Amino acid sequence: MNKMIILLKREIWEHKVSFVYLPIVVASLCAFFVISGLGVLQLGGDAITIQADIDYDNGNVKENYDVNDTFDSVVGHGLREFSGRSIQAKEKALNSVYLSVSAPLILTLWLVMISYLVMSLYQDRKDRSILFWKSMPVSDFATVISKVIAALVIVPGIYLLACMGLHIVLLLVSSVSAMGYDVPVWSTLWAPANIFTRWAAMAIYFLIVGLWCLPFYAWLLLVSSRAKSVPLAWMIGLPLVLVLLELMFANTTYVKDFIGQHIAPVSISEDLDRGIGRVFDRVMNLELIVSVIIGCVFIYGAVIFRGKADEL
Amino acid sequence: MSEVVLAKGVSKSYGDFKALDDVSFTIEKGSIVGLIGPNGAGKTSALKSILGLTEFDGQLEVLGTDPRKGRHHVMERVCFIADVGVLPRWLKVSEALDYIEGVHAGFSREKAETMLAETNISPKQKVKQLSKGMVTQLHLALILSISVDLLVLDEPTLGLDILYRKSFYDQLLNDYFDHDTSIIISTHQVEEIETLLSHLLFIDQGKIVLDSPMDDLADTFCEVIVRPELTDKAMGLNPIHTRESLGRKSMIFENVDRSYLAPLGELHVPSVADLFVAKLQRKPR
Repeated sequence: MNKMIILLKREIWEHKVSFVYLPIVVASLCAFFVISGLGVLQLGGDAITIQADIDYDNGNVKENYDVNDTFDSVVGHGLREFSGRSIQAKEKALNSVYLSVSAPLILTLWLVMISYLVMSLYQDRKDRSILFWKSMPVSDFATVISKVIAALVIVPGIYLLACMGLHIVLLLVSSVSAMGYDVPVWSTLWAPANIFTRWAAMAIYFLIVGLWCLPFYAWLLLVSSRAKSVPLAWMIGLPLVLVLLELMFANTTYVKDFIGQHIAPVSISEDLDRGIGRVFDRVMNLELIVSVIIGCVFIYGAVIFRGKADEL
Repeated sequence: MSEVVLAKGVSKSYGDFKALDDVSFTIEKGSIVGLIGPNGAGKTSALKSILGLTEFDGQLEVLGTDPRKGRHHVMERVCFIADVGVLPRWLKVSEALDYIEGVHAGFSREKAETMLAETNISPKQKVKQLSKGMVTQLHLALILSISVDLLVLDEPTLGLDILYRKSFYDQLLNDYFDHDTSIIISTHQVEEIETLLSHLLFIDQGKIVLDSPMDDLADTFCEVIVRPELTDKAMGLNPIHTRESLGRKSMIFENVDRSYLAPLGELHVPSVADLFVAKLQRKPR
């Protein structure tokens, strides 16, 4: 157990940039765009309102022009309108908002996973440091599993923390803004955000995505453990050949469909958009079990190849 | 148990190429063995078999267990340096210490830190910031701070300049060797390690061509600087190697009584390097 902790630390040390710094940067950028977007709307809102009035009157400023109206910017107006909606409508709208701001992080995580896994058992063979790692009493199984755990639990966990940070920023900024317009903060923004349920759902979402994409992730590990050069070419090439063979000889698309489904967490992400409950339905799903089994076969293969692996 | 390694009929093939051909040898506890052979002779195959890094046929016991049972079990009691240049470049010195401390029960962090304190290496540095010589010092400090029963060094000083090669072996002898640990060194730079070895194993074309304690070499082998008029007589005693330098013939004899050799000329114990050339030339290549 202690050995596994140090192996996981090792993964983070090696990939500090993509595992730790990158999510912080992406989350900060998202927060920056959210804040500056709100700011532009809020400050520019006055101008837009005046502009709208001017246009409406074909360039002539209205005589009964009410100065107070100009301070009711787009944001204030929107918040007040939003505050009046039903709780379900608020929840649905906020769900979309929170998901969209997290989307760049989810996409980044997926890209990081691909580049991490496809190089994870290749890079040290290439730079010959495998000879150092293999001089330590760490089994090949533990080595491969540490990378699986990093990909399925540790790294998504770090990205989840980044999402949570971003959500808190979003919540605080919108609250400050709402207070400025005397909109009730709790009932408008906090209660319908369901922040803790959301985080729990996202944690489960990340775990299920890991299992759902396990055939793909484990395939990357397998390629990484075996390829003598350009693992990226193997990663794409072999599945492509399989798809073409199936199409030519059986004229079916099972392989293609399976790969398409499991390469990216798109369909599950849509579930997350439709509601948290939908994500849970995936847990006891036959296809998920099949995914896990295929993934385990690939992982087993990676362990075997790692055992035979040598410097390149 | 006095044998650290016991090999009986070990073979290893890559296709038609026999890297190891029915090799048998033993390595005694507390010995420093030089495994010496030309490139491609089978040195690395032999070491990889001992370390559990590769499959092989035959019987091999390392500290009483078969290395095929798993490299990670072997590594609890055996350590190896394949090449000092292989520490991962992204690794920080402090992380290397943390890592080995975490995975190896026999590691003494204190010892490693003491050794590193004598160098210019700082714990905050990454391997890629160190010079090649410093990487050597770091790797050596890490490995020598692990208490194991057998240390395997495969061409440990390859690519290092002479200064570091010398200090590498000095450090190995002074800081590490304590007669409880056995060391196997494979190299083709024989001269460097000649003085520290207690046992010699020559390997060529997958076969052991010499297996002898260093102390026995003087009894078995004799180099004679032959007087010119006695050349024919000397040739009659069947030297294993003849070479001419500065107009004088020098011959190496194996298992020929000194009383026959003494009248022929000046007697010496041959150097390991000369012996290496002699033993390998005898075999048709």
